[in-house]
Amino acid sequence: MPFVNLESSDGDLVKVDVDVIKCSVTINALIEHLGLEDDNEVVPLQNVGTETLHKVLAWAKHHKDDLPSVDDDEDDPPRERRTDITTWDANFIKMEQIQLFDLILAANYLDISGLLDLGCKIVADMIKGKTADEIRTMFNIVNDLTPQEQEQIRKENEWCEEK
Amino acid sequence: MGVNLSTPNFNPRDDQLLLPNEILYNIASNLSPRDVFWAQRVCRSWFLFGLTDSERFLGDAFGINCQGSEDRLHQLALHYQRNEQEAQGINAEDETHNYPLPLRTAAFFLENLELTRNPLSLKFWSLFSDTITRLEFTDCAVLPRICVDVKDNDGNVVNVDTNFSLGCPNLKKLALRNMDKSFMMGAQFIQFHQILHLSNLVSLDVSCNKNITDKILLNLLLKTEKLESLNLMGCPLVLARAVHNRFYPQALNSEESGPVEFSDHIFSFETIVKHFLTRPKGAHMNELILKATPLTSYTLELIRDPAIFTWESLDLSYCRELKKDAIHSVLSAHSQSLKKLSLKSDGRGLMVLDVLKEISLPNLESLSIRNGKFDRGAVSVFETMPKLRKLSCANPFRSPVVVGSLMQIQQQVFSKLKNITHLSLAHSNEFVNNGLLQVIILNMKQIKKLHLPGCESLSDFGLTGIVSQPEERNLEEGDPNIRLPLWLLSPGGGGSGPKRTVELESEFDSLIDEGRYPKELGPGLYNSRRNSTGCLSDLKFVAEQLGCHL
Repeated sequence: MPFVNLESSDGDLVKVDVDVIKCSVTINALIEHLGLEDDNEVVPLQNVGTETLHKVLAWAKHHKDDLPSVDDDEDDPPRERRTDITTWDANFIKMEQIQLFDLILAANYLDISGLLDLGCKIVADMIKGKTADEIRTMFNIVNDLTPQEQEQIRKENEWCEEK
Repeated sequence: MGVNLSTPNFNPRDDQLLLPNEILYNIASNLSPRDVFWAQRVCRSWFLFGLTDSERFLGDAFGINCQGSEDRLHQLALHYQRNEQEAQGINAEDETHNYPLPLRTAAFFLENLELTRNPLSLKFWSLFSDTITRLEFTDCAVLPRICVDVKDNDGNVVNVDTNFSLGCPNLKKLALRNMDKSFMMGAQFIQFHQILHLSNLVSLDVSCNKNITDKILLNLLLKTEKLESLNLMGCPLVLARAVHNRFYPQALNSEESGPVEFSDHIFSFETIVKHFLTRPKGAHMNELILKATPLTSYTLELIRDPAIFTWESLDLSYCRELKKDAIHSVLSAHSQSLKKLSLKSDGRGLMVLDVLKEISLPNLESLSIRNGKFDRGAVSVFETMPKLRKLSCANPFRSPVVVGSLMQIQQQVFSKLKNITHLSLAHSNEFVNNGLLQVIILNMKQIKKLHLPGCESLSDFGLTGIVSQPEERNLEEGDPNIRLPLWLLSPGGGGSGPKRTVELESEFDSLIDEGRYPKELGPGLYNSRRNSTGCLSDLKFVAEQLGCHL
């Protein structure tokens, strides 16, 4: 079974089964292009910390036997992909907010669509039903909109707020 | 948007959470429109994301775009409905529950839709039709048909198969663009007597329908008492027939108020405008778009009477048959009420400004001139328009006049327009150069939107002026950080293409640092001076404007 060594941004080396990490389009492409024959070859991941990397790998290991996602049919409405979150995933994703965003960014960087969708869905659930103020408080975001921009938002949505 | 993948974390500098666009989009696609609406108000990067990705973000959120099949429409609507139900704590599994669409999605933009009669699409229309406020059909072969319950003459409720309009009593904006196939099939197919039920309609857009006739239009307009805006762009038959009917008048009895019996006779444009565009009860037409119609001077005369009409917005561009006198008479009759005007000059590039020279339009706010020619008289034209805020001078007439003097006139014109907020000079590469841009930036201190596609003489140096010295431009609320929020350039414009604001700023700052260059002169002048290839009179003129000597 071929292995690949991943180096996190903290400098830690993690040996990973190629079969597990194949869900990452980025690493898959790297392996295919570079042809990592040598077992000691190291793939540096400058944007992924050790803790996050282990999280990603835990997810990848659990999902390694999943059927490869069929390419989305062009005709399917993009908003219809409401697959339910499994219990395992729900437990897996229970973490601090900072870790969650690190995980999402790592999934984006490594191009792991399943994990990215899961993370985004969780964030979306956090946003649901909240006002702008509540969202700002939750994510520690500063409101940097100018009065003009706020006015613009209001105007653009005027016609649908008539009733 | 400031996204730095190398620090995938909260930005330590200002604790701002920064996410790349694709992640924001992924998150947004899991949200209901209501949530997107709030999320957009959270902070600037989320708001800007909504602007830059407006098509898939705002478009999806505040109206439902649909192409292809009607079934998908049903799926999309149900999806939104489910989201809204979840947000309101209603059991989403109960699909039979007839819950209205969330208000913000009550707009549907249907493009090239193959309308079917299968149960799904019928269900969609029966579930949602009465909540829809805005419908836009583009390139659709046929209009949808629905089943609704209506009371017949004996008071019994019967389920009738009808045109969509009967089920959409709240429709306010309707667009039927490029629907020629439907209109060709004639009135029986469309069943216009049912469209008449759209009594709340405010805006009707039937642009790009070559086969729409005056009769069909009349049918469409019969009961729309609240109609304010009518778009007839590219509908030649409506007006051509109206002229024809001038000689074979078979107009309706003007006093008739009840339902009109339809026969084969053809109504004249005069009937249409006199009895269906004007309303006795206050609401009246004030916007008419006649772009690219074979409007003749005679038909224009029909809408001239200021006792019947008060036009606030007229679009008469690309009407080739129009003579100068006709335009003059319409404009002078409505000079007090006109707020928005769009004209295109004839081939010699003379007409538009000649006409405008003789009329004063004190309330005009928005003016669009295509192929206008700027000669010495043009300077005085804009003086009679103190309220002018939006100006578009696309594709100005290319004159054989020596470039230098032409440039002077143009710069005189633009230096006088101090209150402009929106300016478009598309495809004006002969006279929009860095010098003129300087004149614009220095004089039009209110400017918010600058549209310069196809202006190939501009360079990065000229654009630097846009991002520099924000405090001098006195933008609203005196916010020193806001720059021109929106300005557009085509990728080809500006030599190597527009650079990002940050790069431009640093470039400009480095010039200042070198101390060779007086800040108040702006970079365009610097460029002309340094290269010495710029037009000399152009340079002198700018210097004069700036009160300095070369």
